Amino acid sequence: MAFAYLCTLGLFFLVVGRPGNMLFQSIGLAVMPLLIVGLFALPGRVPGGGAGLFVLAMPLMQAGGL
Amino acid sequence: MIAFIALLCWMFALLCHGLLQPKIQRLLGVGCKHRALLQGLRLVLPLAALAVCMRQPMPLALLLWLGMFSLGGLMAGGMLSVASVRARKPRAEA
Amino acid sequence: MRDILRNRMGWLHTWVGFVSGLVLVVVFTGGTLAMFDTEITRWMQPELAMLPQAPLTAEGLNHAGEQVQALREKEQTVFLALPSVRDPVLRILHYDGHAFVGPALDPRDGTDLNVRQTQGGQLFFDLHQSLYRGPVWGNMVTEVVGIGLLVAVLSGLIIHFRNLVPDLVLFRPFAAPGRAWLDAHLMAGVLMLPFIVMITYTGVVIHGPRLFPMISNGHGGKAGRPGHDRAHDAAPFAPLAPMWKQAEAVFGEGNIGFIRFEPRAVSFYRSDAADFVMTRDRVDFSPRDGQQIGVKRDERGDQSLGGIIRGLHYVRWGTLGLRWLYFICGAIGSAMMSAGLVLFVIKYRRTHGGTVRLALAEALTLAVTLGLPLASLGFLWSNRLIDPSLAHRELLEAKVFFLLWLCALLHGVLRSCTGLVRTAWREQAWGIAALGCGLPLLDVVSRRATAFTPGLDVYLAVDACAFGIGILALWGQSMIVHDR
Repeated sequence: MAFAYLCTLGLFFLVVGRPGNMLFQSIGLAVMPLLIVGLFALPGRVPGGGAGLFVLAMPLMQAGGL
Repeated sequence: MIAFIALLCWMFALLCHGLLQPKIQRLLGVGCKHRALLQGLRLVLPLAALAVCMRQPMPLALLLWLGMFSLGGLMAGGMLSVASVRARKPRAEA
Repeated sequence: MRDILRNRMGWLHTWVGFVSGLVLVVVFTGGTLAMFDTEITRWMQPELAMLPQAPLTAEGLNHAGEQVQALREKEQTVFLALPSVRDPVLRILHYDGHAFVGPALDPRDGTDLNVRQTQGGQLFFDLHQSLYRGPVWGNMVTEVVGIGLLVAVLSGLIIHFRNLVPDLVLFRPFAAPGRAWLDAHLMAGVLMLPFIVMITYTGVVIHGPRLFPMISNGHGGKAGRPGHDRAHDAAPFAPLAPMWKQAEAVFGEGNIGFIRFEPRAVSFYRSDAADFVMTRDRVDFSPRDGQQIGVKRDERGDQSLGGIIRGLHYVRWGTLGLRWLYFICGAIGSAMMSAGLVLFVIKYRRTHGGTVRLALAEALTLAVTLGLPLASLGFLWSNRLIDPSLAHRELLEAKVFFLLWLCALLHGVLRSCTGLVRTAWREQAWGIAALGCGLPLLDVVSRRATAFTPGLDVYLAVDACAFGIGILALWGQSMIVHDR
């Protein structure tokens, strides 16, 4: 899930170029559940440890007023 | 009134859909005598519901059509389960 | 290969569904009740029952403006909500951290109607959007479980892909308990799919910036909540009535929702009910002389998409019938998720029966399925039983709600740990039946002295719903007895 989160985030920055674009934000939030399900459907494991740490940092960034 | 008509259309369409399913036929202890008619109604009634809903402005029309699908389906499912319970009783007693 | 996929999806659906589901039942139930938040607030202010439906007058608005001015001189940040079809009074509101509260005024002359203070239906709105935990953490949790619901829906669709259409209306109440619950879960889930996907997705997008703070564009973020402006300028402002007429000329008669007072402008905002696309269009006036400064409309494109998404989710533009449709779909959605939680505990009873973990899962399932409606009914009861003139009574009502909910959880834990979980379900169902069926009586008795006039109004609607839930709970507990 953390990997899917990072993928979605990457999608925002790669595709949008201008963070905050409502259209791509909507698309990204539709893609994220698909990514999670897709990653779970894949055989084997996906890299997620580092991503997990990143996701944990998000609420702290949020609370810090980013 | 529009919502009510759309609801009836969806309910009968999904009732027809249910009656076409072998599992439900077995539960009700009925065969499928009017297969073509049921298939026709299953196809036509949702379109009729859509046509009725389109008298409302968008997006109300679309929300109404989809909402009535949900409610009509629940009503059809409820009617079929009541019918299957009733059909089951005589068989259980026998 | 297909079985491996089904197994993987089964695991994902089970665990994401259960963990998210515990929160989602609360979010869905809260949202369902929040669909009629204004009406619930009116029910909880029975002093308004005798007020005739009267249009807003210039005198009423100017008098309300004077009262706002007096509050601003005391450094209070307030805004003025104008009367609408759903709420026919003027309200001077401030945000207390959970809800917009404040006095209600007569739209004819602006006099204070001395209604009891309550968070009303907004408690359910806050529970829905942030679990009563504030706009940062609460929003984030609801956002995460929203994504969880979309994941559960997708994985569920993959698991049942082959039987989705053939079993669309299949429900076998006479089957084994697990099978019957599964039928109910599947049938409601598939039939409600359009609504559930639409409402969840729009909700997730509205609070998207909470999950992705680094891409925030102010949409659903920290900006723009009325009552949050900190700057105070207590200089008196011009009479509001002439400005109101000019604002109505821009947005149409009856299309002004609320007025915000800022140091450099008095802003008349377009009502959310005015259009499907929900915007924050406004007309600004100079506070000193009431001259129109300008009309600010949300930009098209991005903002318009946001407005459509908000319009679909909040449906404030909708007719009464559409709101009832949302309400019914939301209630069935909650029931579908509760059925999923029950399925989870039935499944794990076989392998983990008697363990503390399962007892906790059973208690949590009970607390969100029956404990929440029980607490909600208790909240309505507390509204009529707590002294109307008590200071900070709105906080006391909220405390009653959460205390009752906590009691329901503890009751569930105690009963589950002693192996009497079915008794716990029955007892809480009895509680709902007693509170629900008794609520109309309480309403009649508590309004008898002041304002009881039978009629087709919000009071009857709330009473009838509570009574219906009570009867449903009675039927449910009798089903538990028969199922032994």
